[in-house]
Amino acid sequence: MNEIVRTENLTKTYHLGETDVNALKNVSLSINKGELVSIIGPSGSGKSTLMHLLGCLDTPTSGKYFLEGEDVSKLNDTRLANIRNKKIGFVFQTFNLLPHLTVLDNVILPVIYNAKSNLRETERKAMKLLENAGIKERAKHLPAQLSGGERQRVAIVRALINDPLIVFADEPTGNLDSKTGLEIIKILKELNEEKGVTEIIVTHDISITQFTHRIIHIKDGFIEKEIENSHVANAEEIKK
Amino acid sequence: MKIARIIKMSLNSLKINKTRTFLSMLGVIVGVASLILITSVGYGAQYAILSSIQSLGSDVIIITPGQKTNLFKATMAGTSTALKPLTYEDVKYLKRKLPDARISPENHIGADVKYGNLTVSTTGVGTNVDVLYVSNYKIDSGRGFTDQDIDSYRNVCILGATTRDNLFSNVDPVGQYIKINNIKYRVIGTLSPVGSMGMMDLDDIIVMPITTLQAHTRVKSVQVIYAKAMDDMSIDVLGARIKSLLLVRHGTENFSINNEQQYIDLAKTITDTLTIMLTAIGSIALIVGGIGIMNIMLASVAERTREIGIRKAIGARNIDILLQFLTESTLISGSGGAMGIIIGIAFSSLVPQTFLPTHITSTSIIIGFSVSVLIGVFFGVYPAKKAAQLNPVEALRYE
Repeated sequence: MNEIVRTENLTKTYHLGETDVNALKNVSLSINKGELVSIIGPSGSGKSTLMHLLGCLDTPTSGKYFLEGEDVSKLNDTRLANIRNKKIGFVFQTFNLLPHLTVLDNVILPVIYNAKSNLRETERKAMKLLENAGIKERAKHLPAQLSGGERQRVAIVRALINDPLIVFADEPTGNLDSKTGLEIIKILKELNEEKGVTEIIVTHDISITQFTHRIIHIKDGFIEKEIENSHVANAEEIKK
Repeated sequence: MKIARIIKMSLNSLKINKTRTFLSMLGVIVGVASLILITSVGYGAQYAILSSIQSLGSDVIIITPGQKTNLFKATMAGTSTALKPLTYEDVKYLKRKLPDARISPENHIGADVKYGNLTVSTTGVGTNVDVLYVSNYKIDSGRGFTDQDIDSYRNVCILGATTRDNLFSNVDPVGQYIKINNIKYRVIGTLSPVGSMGMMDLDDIIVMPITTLQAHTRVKSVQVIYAKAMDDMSIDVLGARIKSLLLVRHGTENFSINNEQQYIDLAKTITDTLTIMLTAIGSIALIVGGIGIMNIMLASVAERTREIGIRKAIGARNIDILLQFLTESTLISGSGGAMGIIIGIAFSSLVPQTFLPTHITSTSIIIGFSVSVLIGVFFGVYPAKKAAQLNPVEALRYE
């Protein structure tokens, strides 16, 4: 087994005034290396909270989270930041690129925060990744000059720059038209098939789940059901 | 993160909103500029004091009217009646009682000197025969005063080197007639140059008998009396004798006796006072500037919440965010300080030297710059901490 993510009774409670809101209740799950998993559920179901916890952006109220066997549920901010920097890549619904940085500078930004890094080498690597994503000629442009699909590609390249252990995609097609959305899914799918990148896609779009190995349904903070997808559609099947 | 990367990152952020960056600098610019300007005037005054001492001979005693006054108060008071216990009669009395000492009074007036159709403004100095002993001035051509010149109120004068050059380009001034404040004088001699101290030209003077000057200005008092012992008598003994003689004559101690060293000490006291002044002005102006920076930085943190969230999501540690914002505020205050220094120097050079002598010192530049940098650090800590402590999830949700 190549288990890289394991949670035990992961719980997150928010205090809103005098009431406690249980955003996540006793979630236990496991994800293996090379898996492509979708987390699906209606808005407010707790899927974003789960992603934030798995992505080390937040810490659970109770329960344990093992990332590559290391319990990260009690780590301090600095350790979590280092994990996010080296092991995790994020792709957001709203792209979250810094508007005043060029595409290339956005892509290498995670590496900037690693003092031991070699920026010249990173830039070469970034250009290669941008080329693979078909947006090499956009390297010196600002995000505002790019289309939505192009921006999301930049975000994917940024997520990959540190060769992460897992890539989290939070509604990656949410702000795109369906055709562009499919192109993004295709890129994510190819990364998983060809490079073996472990990916977790959070979505409420059921059509995306057909490309994933496993579908985790979240409802009211619980895992409602987990379905192994026996007929995984591959990248080739994504309509052009 | 490497320091060079942080600085580059901060510079980029500051470039995005140039107007705001400049406005937040403004407080520090004004603060440092005024600090440089005010201290340059202060140091200028100090130089003026040292320069008037330089024109004195060594081991000279300085007697000024009024208790606890000094040369500069006395000179500043001019011919006003505020301080008038010392008179030319005192000088004559002291000369009679102390035949071995050289005793010379001094009164200053503003003098418009006219020769032909040429008029120059200079300082008129009224004194007596002994001026050549108590000062560093030497006769260059012609002659010095005689007792007769003084006692019979003669309209004669001696030109300082600069005044001579300004009025007489190719004529020998000795024997020529000039007008000082519209009264006719004969030039009897010229002085060798003694140079200048700071901005003060010590040769820009015209010397006349104290009696003549007093008659024309209708003033009985003298502003200052210089005394110098000509034998082995020490200046302390001479000072004590003058003190007891004047006490008997005036019945009260309405004069002050000092020597050169005391004036040098005074100049040092002024330096100390300046340092305190500098610190006070600097603190007030820069605290105001610092509060301005803090305001802008707080606004900037709020506005850039999402950016902070993104940076944290991709692995920026709290310390990275803290340093980025701290570097921004320090760059704002540091460059504001640098601009303030340039503007302060420019303004102080615009002050007419005849009105107020100014002098820029490296101390005020170094203090001005380092304080402004420290202000950026100090007032930047709170906004930067706020930025660093933002919760990444909430920051990413921020619209």
